[in-house]
Formats: sequence, C-alpha cells, structure tokens
Amino acid sequence: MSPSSKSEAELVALFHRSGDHQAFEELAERYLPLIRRTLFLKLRNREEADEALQDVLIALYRSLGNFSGRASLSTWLFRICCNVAVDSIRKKKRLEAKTARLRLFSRDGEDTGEGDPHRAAERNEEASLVLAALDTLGEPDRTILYLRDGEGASVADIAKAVGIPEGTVKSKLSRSREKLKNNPAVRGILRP
Amino acid sequence: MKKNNASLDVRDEKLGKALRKTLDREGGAEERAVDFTAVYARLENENSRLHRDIHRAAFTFLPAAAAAALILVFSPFKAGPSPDFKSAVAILSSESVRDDTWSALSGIIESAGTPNGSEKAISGFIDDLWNQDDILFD
Repeated sequence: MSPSSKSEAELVALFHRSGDHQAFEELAERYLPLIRRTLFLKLRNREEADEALQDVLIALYRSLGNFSGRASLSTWLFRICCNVAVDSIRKKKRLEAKTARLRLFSRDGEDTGEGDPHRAAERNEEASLVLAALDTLGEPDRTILYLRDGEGASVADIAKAVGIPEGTVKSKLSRSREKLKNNPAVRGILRP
Repeated sequence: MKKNNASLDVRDEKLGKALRKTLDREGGAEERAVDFTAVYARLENENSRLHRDIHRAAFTFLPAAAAAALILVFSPFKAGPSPDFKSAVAILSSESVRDDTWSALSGIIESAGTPNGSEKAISGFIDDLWNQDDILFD
C-alpha cells in the first residue's frame, strides 16, 4: 500500500466516519517500526513479538474509535504495546509452568530458536553487544531509555505509558543513560 | 544534578539511533510484512462471539421484550429521540423489572461498552431483532 499524503488526524477522522480499512492500515503502517521495536525490546523473541504485534493491531482497531486526539497516537501505542507485552509474558509464564514437567525430559530446555547456531552466526556482533548492554538495565529502565532516546517520546508521555511519576522517569533515565554509556560496547559504538 | 536534569529534556540522538538500529536488526523488522487479513479475520471472529454472548445473556436473564428494549436503548446506533428509541423506552418502562434483572443488565451494558467491535456486535444483534419484530412489538 502506497502511503497517502493524509495527516494522522485525517486518517483517524476517516476511520471514525466509516471504519475505513485503508485508513487504519495506513496509520498502522506508519507506526509499525515503532511497534515492532517496542515489542522486541520487551519480549526478545521474534515469534512472540509477531504474535504480540497482531494483538496490538487488534487493540488499536478496537480503541481507535474512542481516540479523541487529546494525547498523541504514539503515546497511546506505547501504552498498548507495554500492556500487550506484559500479557504475553504472563501467558508464556503460565504455559511454562504447565509444561515444566515435560521440560525435565528435554536436554536443551526451551526451544525458542534463539539458540540456533546458524541464526546466531548471522547476527551482527555489534547489535548483540548493544542488546547485551541493554539487558544490564532492568525494567522499566530499559523501556524508559528506549522510548526517550530511541523514539523521542516526552518524559510526560513515558510516565503515562509506563505508569510511574515523571520525576521517577527522569531519575531512571539519568541512571540508565550513564550506565549504558559506561558500557564498553556502547562506548565503542558512540565514539565519533 | 541540575546539569543532569537539563540533559533529560534533550533526546540523545546518537544513542537512540544505535538502539533503533539494534532492535530493527535483532527483531528482523525489515523481513516481514503485516498480514492485515488475519487481523480482520480475528476481529470478525471475536465480534461474532461477543454478539452470541450478548444475545444469550440478554434472553437468558431478561423477559424477551425487556432484553430487546435494553439493547435498543443502549445502542449507540439507536440513541436519540427516534420512534425506535421511544418504543424501546415504553417497553422497558412497562416491564416489571426485578433487582436481579437489573444486575444482569449492568453486565450486559458493560459487555456492550463502546469499542468499535462491540458496537458492531450490538448492531448485528439489533438487525436480528428487527427480523423477529414479533418479539419486540407483540
């Protein structure tokens, strides 16, 4: 689908009027990179992120009818992505608990495909190091840092999306930036 | 401390770019298109299920006319002083509605909600009612 020159507000209005699928798809396409990155950041598994992506799009379709435009659509999407990711992690934990006994008989434990040597070899070493550095931050620090610097979300929007006060967002952001920039791998990438 | 707070108002573009690049590459974002058909199919399935649930709940817990009227009264499609709305109010008012019935109503109203999918389910439900108008206007 080739993108139109319609603004976000026009697309939302079109969807409000007639449930226009093309308007919905164009809006979704505009935010897909952001949704995919946020879900992968939270879930760290491509297949799970793909499943969660469908949940996010369904939640977006259902709630877009109530979107008034008072907040930005990206803020709304951050919140939807965070909620969907949390649900996905919960579902996975429930499933893991159910299959825990079966896993006792598995030599390699859970098979998510992440340990595939071919796939691992394809991975860019630099990207893996950055991801490993991100892993040293806990949640929600990791998400806060990514939303602020990766997606340019405002502190106020992040506070709403993550559900913590703005002051806490700022202090966590400050600590996370410092920690990440002191990581040798990240320092190497950021060096001019 | 002041210096730190001031820097928080500015996005760290360089760090941000490294993060986006990493997540795009590791998440394989560029490799896959979205199947919107699958999204619509799932929405349709869930709407049909909701439609059935509302229908079943209304006619399980309520006298038929009250159930029909309730759906009309609370439907976003029939709101306003239309003849349908007035008929619905008249029927609802004439029913002797018990406390337990009202508690069932609140559950149905909650189910009806406002999201798009639920509106479509209610709309389908109303269409069914008009096809059996003896239920409403007997």
